Amino acid sequence: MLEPLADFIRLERTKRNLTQEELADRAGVSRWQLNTFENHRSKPFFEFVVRLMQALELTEIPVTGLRLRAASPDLAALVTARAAVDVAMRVVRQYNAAAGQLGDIAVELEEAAQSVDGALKRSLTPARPPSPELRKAIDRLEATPPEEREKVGRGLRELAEGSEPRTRVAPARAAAKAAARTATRKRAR
Amino acid sequence: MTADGSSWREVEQWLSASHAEAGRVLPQLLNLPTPMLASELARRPELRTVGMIQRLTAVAEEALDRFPLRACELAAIAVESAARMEVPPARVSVALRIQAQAWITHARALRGVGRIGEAAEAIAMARELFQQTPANEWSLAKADLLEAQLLHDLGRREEALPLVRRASSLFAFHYDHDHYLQGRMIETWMLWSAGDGAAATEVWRATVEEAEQYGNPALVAHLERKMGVFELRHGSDEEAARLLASALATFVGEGLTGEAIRARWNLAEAAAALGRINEAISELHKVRAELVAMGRLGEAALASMAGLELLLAAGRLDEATSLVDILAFLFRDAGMATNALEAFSYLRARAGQGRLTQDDVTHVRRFFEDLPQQPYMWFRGLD
Repeated sequence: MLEPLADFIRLERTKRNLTQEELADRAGVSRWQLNTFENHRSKPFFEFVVRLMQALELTEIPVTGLRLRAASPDLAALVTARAAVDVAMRVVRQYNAAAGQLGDIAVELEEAAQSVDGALKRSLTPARPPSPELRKAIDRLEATPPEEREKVGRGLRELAEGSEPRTRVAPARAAAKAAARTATRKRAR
Repeated sequence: MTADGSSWREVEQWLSASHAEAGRVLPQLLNLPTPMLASELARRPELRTVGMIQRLTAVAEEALDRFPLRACELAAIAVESAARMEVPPARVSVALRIQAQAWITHARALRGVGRIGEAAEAIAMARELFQQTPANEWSLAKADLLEAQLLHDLGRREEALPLVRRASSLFAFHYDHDHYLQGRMIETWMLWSAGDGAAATEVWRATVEEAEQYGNPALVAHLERKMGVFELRHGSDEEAARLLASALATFVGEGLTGEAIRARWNLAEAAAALGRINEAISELHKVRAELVAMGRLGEAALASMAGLELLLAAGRLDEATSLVDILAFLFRDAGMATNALEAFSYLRARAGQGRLTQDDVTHVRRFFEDLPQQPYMWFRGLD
């Protein structure tokens, strides 16, 4: 059985006499995230685990009976590889438990490959600067006046159910605005 | 190798062959009235294949938004046929997964027509089937997401929230951005509708921080697109355009073509709403070109109709007439089916007579919207 990564991190943290708060500070993650991770209540992004490993100055990771060592500082690839082994082990366990039910394993491996591919791509992509527009949008949402709350609620529901483009691009609204723009330009001249 | 000694390639070939055969037969079957379609599938066991169930389920999925009752009927036929499907013993788990997916679609369709209790039963069926398959946690999370919405519909918010959070967490682990964000949106909406606006916006804020903290450009872009659509629907067109333009740039940079098309189409909507007609039309042309290149001709036709409607609304009849000519040749060369090309012939004829109107274009747009449901449907003009 593969040792859960959360247990490994918790063990390494306690070996160093660090509290969750101290480790969270060092790693630049929230204490809540660390707590839910260590208690197996969440499966975080790979980068989260990488940050914890960096904060704990870990350079190796357990995979079954072995301890794999990364060519520092490529911890992201190591965590990714470990996750891939985790998935493969799970598949093998399920295979043993369900011999004969093999059809889905190819699908699962493909899903695992996609996860690993995504993680590898992530580890190679430079960080993206914060999006000020998104923050402004959230601020506007937060400041919704009471009389618009119901309308906004309907909008959020619509968004939750899907956000495909509309096949009709509201020409009436567009034409009115285009006319207004033209009139403004004429007045300016 | 599988339990019966066949290789994965053979399983894949078996699935593709079944899918191709269903693709050949299903369009004709879809032209039948629903009771006849059901009886054909009940009468002919050779039609009850995994490919047929998958295709039928996909057609039902497509119908969910615009034709909820039709989606319900088709999904019901899919689950009924799936239950009576015969497959080799070594491929039972593939069949079970496809059957479960049909139940999920059926549940979504039932929810769409307000039959919440039955939808909950359909989800339970899907869950039972998924549980008989190996490697099922992702599939079960998708069932969780839908069940959470159903529980919320039933007013059982305390049960719904943990379910949706658990599912989101699993999608994040699998780098499934689409489902992860859908989960966070559902959570936001649930908290908002419970009157807890602060908690709802906190979910948004945490998601943005999480995405930025890990330097995940695709996830930030997905968020920008979602938020842009939200702003657009609420009339904040300038803000929407900025968010969508940023999302589009990232999707293009990351090579996420499908997402880029959606963002570009949304951006055209925002530009049109702002009265920037030329920009909107230019973006729609690009959308059309990308969709044609991908062979998604029906959607390309819809993007074209959106552009035409804009030109006509702006009173630019000459340009609309030229565009109609170009579109007729373009879609013919792209291999569009004859019945669909009729719609373009109609538009050309109307434009040639100088009588092309918004109503004509709207009529053709509706034809293309309905076409996936009835691929052999013939076009009839307004006259």
